[in-house]
Amino acid sequence: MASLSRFVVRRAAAAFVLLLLVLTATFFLLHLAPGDPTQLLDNPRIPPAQRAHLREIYGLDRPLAVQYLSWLRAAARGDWGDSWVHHRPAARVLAEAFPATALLAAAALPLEAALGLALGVAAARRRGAWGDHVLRTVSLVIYALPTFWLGLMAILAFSVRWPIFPASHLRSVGAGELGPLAAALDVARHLALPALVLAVTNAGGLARFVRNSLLDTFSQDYIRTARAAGISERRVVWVHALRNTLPPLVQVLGLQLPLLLSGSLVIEVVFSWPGVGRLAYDAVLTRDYPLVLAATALAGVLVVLGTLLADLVLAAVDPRVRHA
Amino acid sequence: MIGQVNPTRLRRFALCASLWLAACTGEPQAPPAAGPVTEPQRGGTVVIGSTADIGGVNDLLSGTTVISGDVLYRMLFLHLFEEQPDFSEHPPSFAPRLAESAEWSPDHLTLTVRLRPGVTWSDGVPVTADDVRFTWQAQTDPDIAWDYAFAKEAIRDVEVVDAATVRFHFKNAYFSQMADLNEGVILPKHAWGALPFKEWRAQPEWFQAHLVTDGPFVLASWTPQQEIVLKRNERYFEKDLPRLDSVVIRVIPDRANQLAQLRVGTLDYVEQVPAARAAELSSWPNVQALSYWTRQYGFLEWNLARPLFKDPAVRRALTQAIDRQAIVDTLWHGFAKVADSPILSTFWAHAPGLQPWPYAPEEAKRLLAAAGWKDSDGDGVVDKGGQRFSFELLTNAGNEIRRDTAVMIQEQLRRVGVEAKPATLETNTMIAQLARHEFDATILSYSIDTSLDITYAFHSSSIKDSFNYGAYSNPDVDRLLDEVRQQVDPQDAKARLVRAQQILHDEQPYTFLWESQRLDAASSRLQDPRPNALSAYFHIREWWVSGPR
Repeated sequence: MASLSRFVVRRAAAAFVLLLLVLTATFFLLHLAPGDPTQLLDNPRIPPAQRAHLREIYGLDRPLAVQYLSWLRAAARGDWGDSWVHHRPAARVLAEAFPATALLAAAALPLEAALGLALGVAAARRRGAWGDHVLRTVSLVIYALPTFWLGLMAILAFSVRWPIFPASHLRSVGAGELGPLAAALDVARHLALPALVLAVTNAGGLARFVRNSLLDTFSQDYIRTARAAGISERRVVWVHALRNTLPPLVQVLGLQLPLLLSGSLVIEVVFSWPGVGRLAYDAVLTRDYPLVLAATALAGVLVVLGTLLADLVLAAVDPRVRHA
Repeated sequence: MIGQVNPTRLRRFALCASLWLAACTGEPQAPPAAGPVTEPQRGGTVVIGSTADIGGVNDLLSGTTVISGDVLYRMLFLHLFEEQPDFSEHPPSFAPRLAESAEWSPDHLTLTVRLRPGVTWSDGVPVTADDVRFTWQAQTDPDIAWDYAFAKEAIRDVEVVDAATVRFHFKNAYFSQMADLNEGVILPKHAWGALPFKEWRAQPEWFQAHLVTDGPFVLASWTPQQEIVLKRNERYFEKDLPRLDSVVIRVIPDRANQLAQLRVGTLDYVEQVPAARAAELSSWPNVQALSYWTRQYGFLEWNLARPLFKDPAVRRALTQAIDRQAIVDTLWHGFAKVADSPILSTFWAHAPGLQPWPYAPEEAKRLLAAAGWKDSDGDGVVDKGGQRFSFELLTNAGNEIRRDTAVMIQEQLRRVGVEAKPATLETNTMIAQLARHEFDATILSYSIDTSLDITYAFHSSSIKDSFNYGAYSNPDVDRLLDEVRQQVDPQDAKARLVRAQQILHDEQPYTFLWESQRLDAASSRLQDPRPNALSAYFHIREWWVSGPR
C-alpha cells in the first residue's frame, strides 16, 4: 500500500511539472502567434486608438514576461481570468461545458471498447482468412474516415433520410418543460448519434491494436499448452489470451480518455454538442487567451489523470508494475 | 463465432428505440394541418439557426466577434429610430421607434427628440429621457470601451429637457449624423445604473440578473452554447405585435447541419446558405429560398508598396485580364454582380455612369507591354529588367469562394503572361501579415455602412494602423474623403464621393470583384420574413407562422 502511495505521489509531482511546462509553452506560443483579439473586431471603422485602448484593457500592451507572471499568479490562486468572448470567468465557462463532454465520452468509451474488442478478437481468431482481411480493412477504413464526414453522413442517414435521431444539441426545443425521466430520455436520444460516431471512429484503431496484441499472445507457450489440454477455443481467447492483452489495453484505454475529450471537438462542432472541445476550438480562432489557457490546463489535467488512472489499474492487476 | 447482424433488423430496432424515447419524452405531436392560412396569425414559435452564441445581454459589452448583436438586441431593445433599407436613391430614412418625433436646429448641430409616450420597460417602469442620456454616457465611457464608441465622437452632450424630451448637441454637422446618433440600443438606467461603469467589464453577468427590456421580446432563457429562448413582451408598445409567441435561437456551428435540420423541419430559418446549394434548396418541399442584396463587396487588393504594382496602368491591365463575370457566374451562381467601386451600385452615392472595366485580355497584354513587361525568355511569364511578373495571391483558409476565386484568377492571369501563386493562411495570421504590409496581393471583402466612410481603406492616414493594407496614397482622394465627413448636404458629400470613386476606378488600387447577394432559407410556414441588407430579422416582429411545426 505504501509503495502504491509513493507511486501516486511521484507521478503527481512529475505531472505537475509537466503541466506547468505545457501551460507556459501554450502561453508564449499563443501570445507570439500573429494577431490578437482586437484585430478580429470586424468593423474596419473602429479607429486604431480605440483598438489600442482595448489592448490596454486586456493587458496586452504590457511586456510579455509581465503578462505571463501576472497570469501565473492569478492561475495559482485559481483565477483563470474572464473569457474575452463569453464575458464570464473562463473556468466557469469550461465547468458549464465539461459535463456535456464527459457525458459524450462516458457514452462513447464503453461503445468503443466493446466494438474495438469484438472486431479485434474476431480478426485475430481468423488470422490470414478472408474474415481477417475484411475485418482489418473495415477497421482501417473507419480509422481513416474523417470524423466530420462520418458525422455528416450519420446526420443525413439517421436525421434526414430516416429521421430517427436528432441532428444536434443536448436537448430538444422546449425540453425544459419535461419531467426528469422524459428529460433524461430526451438527452439519450440526442446523445445516440454523436456517441456512436465518436465510438466508431476510435474503435478502428483499437481493433487493430487488440488484434496485434492477441496474435502476439497466441504464439506464447501457455496458449499452446491450454489448447493442447483441450480447453475450448472461446475460453482460450476470452480468458487466457485476453487477460495477458489486458495491461497494454488498459493503458491504451486510459490514454483514450483525454483523446476522447479532445477528439470530440469535431463531433461537438458537427452535432452542436455544447462541450469543451467546441469551446476550445472557438477560443483559439477568436484569440480568447484566458479560455484557451484554461482549456489547455483542463486537457493537461485529464491527460495526467487518464494515464495515472491507467497506471493505477495496471498496478492493481500487475504486481510487476507496482514494484518497478 | 460472432453473430450475424441483420441491418434491417438493426435499423428497425433503432427506429423503435428512438420512437419509444420520443414517446416517453412527451414531445408535442403536430396536429393535423388545416387549410392554407393567408391572414397574419398570432402565436407559434420560430426556431432560428445561429453559428455562434451571444456574448451576453449587454450590447455594449458583447463585442463583435460573436453572434451578430443584431439578432438578439433588435428583439430585446429599442433604438430611437429604425434605419430603413431605402438607400438606393437617397440617404436612408429613419422611422421613429422609441422616438415619436425629432427636429433639427437650423445649424444642424442640435436634434431635439420627443420620446414616444407610454413605452415601458418589461418591469413596467416608463422609458424616459434619462435612459437616453445614461445610454450615451455608457457608450462613451472609456472603461466600458464599447466597440462602436467612435460613432458618438461628434456628440458633445445629451441633454435631458424633460422626462419625454432629450436634446443631442453635436460638435459639428455632417450628413450621416442620424446614423451615428442611432447606433446602439437604449439601455435601462433604473436597472443598470446601479452598477458603476468601472465595474461593467468585470461583471458582465450582472446584467442578465438585472435585465429589463423594451423590445418586442423578453429573454426567457439562455443556455450557453445551446439556445436562447425569447418570449413575446406583453408590454411591447406596438399593438398586436410581435405576432410570434416565441423565438428560439439554436446555436449550430455547422451550416450543413443547419440545412439538414431545416429540411426535416426542426429549424425555421437558416442564414447565409452557400450559393452553390441554391438549386438543391429549390427541390426541398416546405422550404423557401430568400435572396437579397447585401452591403458587401469582394475585391483583390494590390500591395502598392511592391514595385510590381506601383504603376496604375499595370493594375488596370491586371483588372482587365480578370474575367470577373465568369467568377460571379461560376462561384456565386448568379447571386452576385461585378463590382466597380467601394460605394456599391445599390447605394445612392454610387458614381453614376461608372462601369466595371471590361474583361479584355488583349488590352491587358497591350498595357503590360506598354509598361515594359514582355516575355523575353519565352517561359510564358512576362518580365522586365530581369524580374518575372510573378506574385503570391493570399486568401484566408476556410473561405471557399475566395480560395476558388484565387484559382480562377491564377488561370486568367496566366493567359496574359502573369504568374499568380494562390496561398492560404489562417485568418488571424493573414490579417497580421496584411497589417505589416507583408504580402503581394490578397482577396478580401468589406461591408459598407450608412456613413459611406471608406477612409479606413483608401486614406493615406490609414496605411500605418488601419485597413489600407495596400498602402494606397493619393492626396486628392485624401482631401475628398476628409471633406465628405464635413458635408451637411448629402448631395455635396455625394459629389466628393463620386470624384473619389472615379479616381479609384482609374487607379485601381483594388480590382473590384463582386457585389454579393445573401441567400437565406426558411420553412414555408414562416410568413413575411422579408430579410434585407440591414438585417435578416428586420421584420421579425411582424413574422407569423401559417401552421404547426
